[in-house]
Amino acid sequence: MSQDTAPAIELRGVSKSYDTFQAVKPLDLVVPRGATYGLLGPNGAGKTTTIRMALRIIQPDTGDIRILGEPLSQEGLDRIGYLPEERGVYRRMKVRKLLSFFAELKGVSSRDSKPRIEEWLERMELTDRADAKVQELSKGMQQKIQFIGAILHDPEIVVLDEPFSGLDPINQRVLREIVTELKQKGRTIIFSTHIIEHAERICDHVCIIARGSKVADGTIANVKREHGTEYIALRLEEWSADAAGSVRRIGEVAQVREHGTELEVTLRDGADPQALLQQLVRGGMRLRRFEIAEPTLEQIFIERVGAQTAQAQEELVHV
Amino acid sequence: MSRMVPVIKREFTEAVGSKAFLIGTIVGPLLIFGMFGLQFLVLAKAGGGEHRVALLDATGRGIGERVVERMNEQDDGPSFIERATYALSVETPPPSAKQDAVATASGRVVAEELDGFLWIPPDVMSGGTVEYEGSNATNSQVTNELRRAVERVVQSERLREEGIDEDRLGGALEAVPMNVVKTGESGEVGNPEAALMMAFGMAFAIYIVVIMYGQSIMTSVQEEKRDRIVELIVSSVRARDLLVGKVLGIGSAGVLQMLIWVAAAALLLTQGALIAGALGAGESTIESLSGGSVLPSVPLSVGVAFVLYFAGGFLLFATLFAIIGAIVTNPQEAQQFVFPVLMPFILGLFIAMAAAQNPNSTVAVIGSIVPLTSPMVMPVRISVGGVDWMQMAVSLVLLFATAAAVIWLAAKIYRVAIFATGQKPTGREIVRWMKAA
Repeated sequence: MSQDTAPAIELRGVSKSYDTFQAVKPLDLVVPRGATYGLLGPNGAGKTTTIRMALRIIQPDTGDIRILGEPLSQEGLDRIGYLPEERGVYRRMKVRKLLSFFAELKGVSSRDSKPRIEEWLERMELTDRADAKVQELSKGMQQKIQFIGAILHDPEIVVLDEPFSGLDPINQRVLREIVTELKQKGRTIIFSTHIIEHAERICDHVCIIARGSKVADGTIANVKREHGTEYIALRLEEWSADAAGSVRRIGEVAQVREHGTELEVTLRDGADPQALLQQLVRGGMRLRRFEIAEPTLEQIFIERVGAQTAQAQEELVHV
Repeated sequence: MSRMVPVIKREFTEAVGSKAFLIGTIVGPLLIFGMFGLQFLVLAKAGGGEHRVALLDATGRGIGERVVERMNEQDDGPSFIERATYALSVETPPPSAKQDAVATASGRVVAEELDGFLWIPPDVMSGGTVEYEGSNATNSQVTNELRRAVERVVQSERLREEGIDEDRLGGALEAVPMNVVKTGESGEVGNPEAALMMAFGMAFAIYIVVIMYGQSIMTSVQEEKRDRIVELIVSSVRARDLLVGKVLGIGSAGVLQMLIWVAAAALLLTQGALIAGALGAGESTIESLSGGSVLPSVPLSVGVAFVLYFAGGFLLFATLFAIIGAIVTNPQEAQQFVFPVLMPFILGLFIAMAAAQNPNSTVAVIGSIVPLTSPMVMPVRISVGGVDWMQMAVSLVLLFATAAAVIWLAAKIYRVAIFATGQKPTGREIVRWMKAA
């Protein structure tokens, strides 16, 4: 594969264990170039460990990692911008100096980074605080500064670990706009989150991880097609105790989930939705809505990961 | 390697820009100057002033007058401290009236008519004890000068009684000057006091910089861990490079501060007379300082050895401090780890002091080869006495090999430890980290 078409990040058989706990089971992950890639999973699923391995922060036990087609190297890492989940900055440094240091760590001289820093500070409305010490800034401002630090060197790949946590809605929108811009510029964006709506709104690719294993992977359309089943969204004109029961008794129906007058009906394999509609009408059910709906990512997520997994993982110490 | 540079730069500028550095840099020389100035204020005045002393001469043969003459001749040339001056009076009480004479004189001291009196007993020629009593009895300059004068007078009297011509006495009793020099490796001679002073200075310099800046490295590692900065840094820089960069950056700040101090001390030594004058010291003091003190000249070999041992010692101990910073979760915990690290270090300082007296004793030789003590001991041995090249080579190789091994180990521990923010790790866990990383 030529380097220009090689995936942005490629993990083959990468795994990591801590004592007896296997944080990441042998994992294959391919992030295509230019993709906006969502790494989804409950807390403790192994998202952060996976990211850390891809960035040489921790050493995998097994497997092979390539960045832009090349094995892990300083040059490769220089082309990545990273916003860690655990936000941290040198609190006693002044904002400008800190940003200049971040750029230098990525091989950009302070002379080259100077105009970019001014540009970003302006954009983030932080110019008047540029000579303040970081610790004098609000938490939201500190986060924005760290975000600037991650993209200051104009990296080809941007890795954002839970970027929205701790941001107010206004700043969330600013961040989303920037991500969209980066995407338009052809940058590859990887971001991990356990909030599915964020991923659904921004990503074109997703990978769902649970308990250290991949459970779904691909473009959103593909994931929906492969892992989600279409369902029928029904809204009854009037709620009655028996309504759901009578829907459940129809031959084509496999499962019914109730939300008040809304019902989510899953059909048996090969069953025709039209047949269900006929049965409902024949049964005298009065309907406000009958729709053949696409599964949401959240449904797939919950289905694939399982609510109890999320809960069990939540209790594990996050390594 | 290249990414170590911004780390070094940041650590250095942050350390040098800190208030602690500014205060330390200014306060250090101020202390040096201050102590210097204080010496004048205290010492210069201590022996100074006029001392009114009565000589109670019961010998009946004019010893008292001779002592007064002698006291007026006595002159040791320019001295660092201001000389005392005397208002001497001679009384000749009868030999049997010691009690009365002493009581009277004592009363005059109490009444502050006198500062002290000297009782010269009738049998002083045959070994009788001279007594001094006075409010200034603790002034060793006064008592020493009186003692020397009495001694000289009595001794020459005794010799005269033996029939030795008085005119020849002065020449016979002339002091014999003795000049002490130290033989160096290639037979060159040097001033032993200067060599010793420099040797202690070296050991002490390593000690101060390691204590101050080693701890500051420890705190800095802890801060990075506590404030969760380290993850971002190690996504661009290898843990080992971060560690070494930190040690070098903060270490350079320490060296810079020391150089400023050394420059201040050198200024003081060369321009001491000027400064003393400005501080209002007496004329004789200024005279004694101008040209009196010179900078001890450092042979090149000693200078090079010092730089090498300083670098090796700092790398070794600073890295140990960095490990502590990485494995502990709070400053209280850190203190209990600091002590075992400092112990060999303090031991090294003690051995260094012993080595200054006896540079080739077994303890000194072993201490100068074992890596944990050699940075303090070897420079002292080198500057005091000849060390054979073989020993020095072995000691240096051991020191740098140990430092490299500790850095390698530290990088491993660092990689894992900086992400463990929970409880204090057990010894077994630390071993596991070394294997895991």
